[in-house]
Amino acid sequence: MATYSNAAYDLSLFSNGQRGKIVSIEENKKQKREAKRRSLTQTIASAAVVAVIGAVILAAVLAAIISKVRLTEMNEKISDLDSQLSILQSENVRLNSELTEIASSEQIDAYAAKHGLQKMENGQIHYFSVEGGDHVEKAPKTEETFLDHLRDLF
Amino acid sequence: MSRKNEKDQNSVLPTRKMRRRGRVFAGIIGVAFGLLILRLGFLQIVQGEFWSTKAVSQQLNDSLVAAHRGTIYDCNGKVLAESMEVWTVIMTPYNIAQLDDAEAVRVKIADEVSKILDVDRDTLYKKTTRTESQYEKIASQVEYPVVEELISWAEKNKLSNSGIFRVVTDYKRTYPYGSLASCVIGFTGTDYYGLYGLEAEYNDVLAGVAGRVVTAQNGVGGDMPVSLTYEKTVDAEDGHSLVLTIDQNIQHFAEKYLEQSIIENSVKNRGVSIVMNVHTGAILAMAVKGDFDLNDPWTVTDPNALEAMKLLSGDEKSDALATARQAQWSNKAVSEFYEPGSVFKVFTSCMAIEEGVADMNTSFYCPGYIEVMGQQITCWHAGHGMQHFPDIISNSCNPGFITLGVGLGGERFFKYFVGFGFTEPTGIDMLSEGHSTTSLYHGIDMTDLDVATSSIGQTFEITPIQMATALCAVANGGYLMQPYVVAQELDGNGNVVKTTEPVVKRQVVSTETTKQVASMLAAAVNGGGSKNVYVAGYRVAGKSGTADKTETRQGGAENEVWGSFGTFAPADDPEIVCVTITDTAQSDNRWGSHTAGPVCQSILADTLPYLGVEPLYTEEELANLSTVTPSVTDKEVSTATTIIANNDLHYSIIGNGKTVVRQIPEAGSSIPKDGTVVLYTDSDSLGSTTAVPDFHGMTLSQANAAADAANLNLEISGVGLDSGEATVYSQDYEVGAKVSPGTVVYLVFVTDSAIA
Repeated sequence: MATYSNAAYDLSLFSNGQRGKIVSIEENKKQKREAKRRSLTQTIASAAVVAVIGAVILAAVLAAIISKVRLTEMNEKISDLDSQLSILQSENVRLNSELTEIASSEQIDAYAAKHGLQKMENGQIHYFSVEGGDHVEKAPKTEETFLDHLRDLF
Repeated sequence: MSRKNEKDQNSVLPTRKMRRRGRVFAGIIGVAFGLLILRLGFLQIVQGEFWSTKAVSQQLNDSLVAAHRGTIYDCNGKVLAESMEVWTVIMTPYNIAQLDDAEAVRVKIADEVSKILDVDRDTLYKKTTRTESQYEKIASQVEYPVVEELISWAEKNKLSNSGIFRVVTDYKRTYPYGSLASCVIGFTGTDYYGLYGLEAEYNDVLAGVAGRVVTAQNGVGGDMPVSLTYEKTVDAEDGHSLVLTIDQNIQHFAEKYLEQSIIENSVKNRGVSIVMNVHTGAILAMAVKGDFDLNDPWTVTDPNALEAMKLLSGDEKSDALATARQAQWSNKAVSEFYEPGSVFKVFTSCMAIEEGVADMNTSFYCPGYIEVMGQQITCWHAGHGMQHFPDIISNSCNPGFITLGVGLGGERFFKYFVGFGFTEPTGIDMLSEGHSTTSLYHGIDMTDLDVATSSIGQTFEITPIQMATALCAVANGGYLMQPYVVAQELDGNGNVVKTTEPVVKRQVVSTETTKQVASMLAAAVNGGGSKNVYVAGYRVAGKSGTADKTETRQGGAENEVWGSFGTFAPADDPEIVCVTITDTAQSDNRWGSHTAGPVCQSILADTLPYLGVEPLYTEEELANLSTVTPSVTDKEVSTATTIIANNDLHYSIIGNGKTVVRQIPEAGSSIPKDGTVVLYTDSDSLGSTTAVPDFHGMTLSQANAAADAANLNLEISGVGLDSGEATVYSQDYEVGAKVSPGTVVYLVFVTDSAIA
């Protein structure tokens, strides 16, 4: 029956007095260089990726900040212009109101009377009927230009 | 393992004591945190709502954003009422107190800012001394030029950044036409709420819905810095606008001539003129004179009321002021009552013809009175004798119409009385339409005496709008229309959201009946008792009315009357109705034909051509039309005089020159046929003037003589000119005005014959 123990075998007991040849493992410099190079490349690549990602994130953040600043500036500008528009609209109403007051029918009547003007008599208005509605009559051309000839060709 | 290693290992392990201390310490920390977490939980969960409400109210400022009130336009899109942005000026006296030279600044503000803002200097100074106050309103409804001036003043005096002044936006209602249609449009109060007229009636439509702005505020109640700005806005919903049926031009005509009559006849209790489209019921003009400026409604304009208030003081004066204001704001056309008098005979005529009680050939006899149920009712005339139906209209004969009324009987009379709308409000879309409690309501209980007095328009009261609406029914073929003032409602973008369509309430009498009555009324204008509304070129139908104000019922004194006139034109194809009422004229002639007739005549003379109704002149009218003054300026005198003579005109030469340097009347202006053109031939003579005489009350021949003497031309209109009865009612130039010789003075003649 197999038994299990953790006693190590003394292999020298089994050897015939011969000592094993100690083989030295030579370092594979090429592989090592290769590994190193790969490792370096990987490191550089990783760094580059990180740098790129970092740059992108930074750019995005900067862009967000800049656009936020622009937005704020534009909102302020809009607010200013809104305010100006409001004032101008108010001034428009006020001035129109003043104009209406100055140019009211009473003022016009009074001004006309002061300058000896008279309203037109009803008998001075002549009415005439136009049959067939509006129409346009084009005056005939007396001279044809070069362009007219060209047009006629086509 | 070696003992040394074992010892080293033992030296870094915690001892039992240390472990115990650690456990105690952890326990204490745990308990403390536990308590904190419990407290946090209590504050955030149990009392969370309480504290967040407090924080919101402290950190956020919630303010209302006023909605833009809708505009009121006339039918042609002219603005009658509009809102404009104005500013309220707020002062912070606390910030003045922080300045080194605070007192000097206070004095400067009181002296100079009071002038800019047009406020009382002492009141302003007093406000600057309230050093603990952060908010003092010093001026409201300030327009932008004044705000700009204040900003410049602050910059000039290096007070711009001191935080002493700030402005807050507000709205103000402006009425560009002043007092035009004041009783119709109405006005708003300080809280921007409609108080009278259409502003009140349509307040819900015009007002809109206020918005809100929630902003973050700092510890002293100001807005947070821009970087910490928080703002949430709920937009205001602007009010809708109204387009009226009122035409600003026709309204101007009505107000001008009504005011003229009020002044010339010393009318005590205001007057009314209504112009209405007979086919649709649209009100084209509603003039009430004895009115007010919509931009300053609180100022009383009635000179009699102002005179009376001078003698009062204290509560009595305040009450009198309130009463005077109410009186001027009241829309007499829809809210106040009057007895129609003889104008009502139009409807009695319709009733009689419709029921077959009389026709055009029916005869009547007027001995100057009529007896009904033992009571004698007199005619205004001593006795018209034998008449036919058209004559009793022309003569406004009381016995004639009483005969018709009695012939109809109470039941039939009342049926048409109701049919013409005299027992109910018209339903016009205006505030406070009156409904008389003294209208007829006894119906079949009416005795012959009741019918007799009612048939001549006495013993009951109606509103002017009821009269105008009923008269429209006579003019348009018998259809009672719904009167209205608002034609359309527009949203904030100008889109039409609502249109008022004409509504026919009912047909009262047949079209044939109305045609017969219209022709009789037109005949009365052309040569009968209604000639004061005659307009050359147009057939006008009309009836005058004069009703006594009895002492007991209407509080009137002896000889106080309502004078009225109801017209429509053109008589054969009516377009418009015009009704005028004057309440208590104090002139010598108080008859409606004199106080109200010329008003209707002038309104029709201006309105019919304005509406494009073509005049059709008779041969006689054509012969009397004015002609156009030919151009003779810069021509040699001999040439000028020939031209003038060829135009059947006369000339008068002033000066010694050989060339005409100026002519009066000017070339192209109207001059009566046979008129005189004054030719100035040197510049020295240009300055000469003549005084316009007082033509009032003169007959035609007297007026001609006075005009000749003053070297003036006359342009005349009116009636009764051939009969010699007519006298001058009005003149366009003031008495004594200095004008150039040859100037054309326009005179209106009326007959003074007392037709009721």
